[in-house]
Amino acid sequence: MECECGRKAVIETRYNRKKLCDRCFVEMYEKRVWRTIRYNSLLEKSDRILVGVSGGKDSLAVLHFLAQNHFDVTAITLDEGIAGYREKTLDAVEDYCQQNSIPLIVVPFKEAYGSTVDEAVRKGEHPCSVCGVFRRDLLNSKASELGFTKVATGHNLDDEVQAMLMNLLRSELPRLARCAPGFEEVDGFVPRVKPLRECPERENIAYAFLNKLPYSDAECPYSKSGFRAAVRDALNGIEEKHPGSKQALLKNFDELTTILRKEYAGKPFRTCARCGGPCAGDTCKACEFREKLGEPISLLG
Amino acid sequence: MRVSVESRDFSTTVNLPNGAKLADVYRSLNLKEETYLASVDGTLMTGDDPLAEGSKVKLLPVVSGG
Repeated sequence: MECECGRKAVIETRYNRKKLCDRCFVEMYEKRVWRTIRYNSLLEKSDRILVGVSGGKDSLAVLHFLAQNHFDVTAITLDEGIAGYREKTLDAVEDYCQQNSIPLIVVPFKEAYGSTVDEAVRKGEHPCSVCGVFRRDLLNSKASELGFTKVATGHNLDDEVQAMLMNLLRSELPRLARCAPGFEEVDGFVPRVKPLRECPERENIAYAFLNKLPYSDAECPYSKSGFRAAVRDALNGIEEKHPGSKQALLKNFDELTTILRKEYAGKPFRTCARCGGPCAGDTCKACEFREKLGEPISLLG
Repeated sequence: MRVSVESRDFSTTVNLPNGAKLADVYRSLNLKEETYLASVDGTLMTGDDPLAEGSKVKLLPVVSGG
């Protein structure tokens, strides 16, 4: 099978009926990421970017893309304390950062919140809820504390459409509004950007493989149990039969969420009475979990 | 011909007729091609690519991480 350029194809992208060689694929992939960054004004060369890196193909792909294109990047890995999982992926991050002279910060949940995800599960909490809340909180607080101007993550097309569909199915319109492309300037939050949001998960593997990134393909042991897994499987089944469905979904969701963002914009965030961070209620979700999990917290003031 | 297949969750050997293609590996193992990328002897390949006796197929699962 040949690429349009005459070289041997290494990947078939069924949604646009193309067969691409290694060079044409990487060129297409990088052009798409640049288009996402420019069209949504995600990053400036003057930005100091904290990149959330798990060691999987998505986060290493975004770190590699930004580092190769001379953005000012620092990697941060959050160690959730999931036995048999995070150890493998942490090795991948350390290898890559060492080889490419990229500063790396590692923060264990245990150190930041007094509890690991495994411990939270033993106390009856849902792993993805605790993990998601702590991750968002920690990325923002570290970026803010260390003076970064943006937080970048490796969220891909599959992640995006899954999250949007989950919010829709759960009737969580304010959350769905926050999925709109680009980012919002909100007091207390360092803007978060997702340069790979138009890249299918499958193509992030190809990009990581062709660039010889030392990614770990470990799967979180909790990822099979959640609502997300059901949505993911449903979307993959649709994509298998109707290639291009995920891209169509993202495009249409982007139009809807842009309208929704205007509807929900301007609702000011409050200050958490416990940690002082931004939140919607009296206390932030991270402090609520911290308290439930037994970590003593003193009230501010 | 015999080709070895290795992935994150399993490794096996499959017997295929001469002239078999990578897509035949997916078929014989009842796997969906969309959920994997495959490298054969260290190079990324597509389903239409032919295999040879002793080929080493590595299946890279699309779903990983959290």
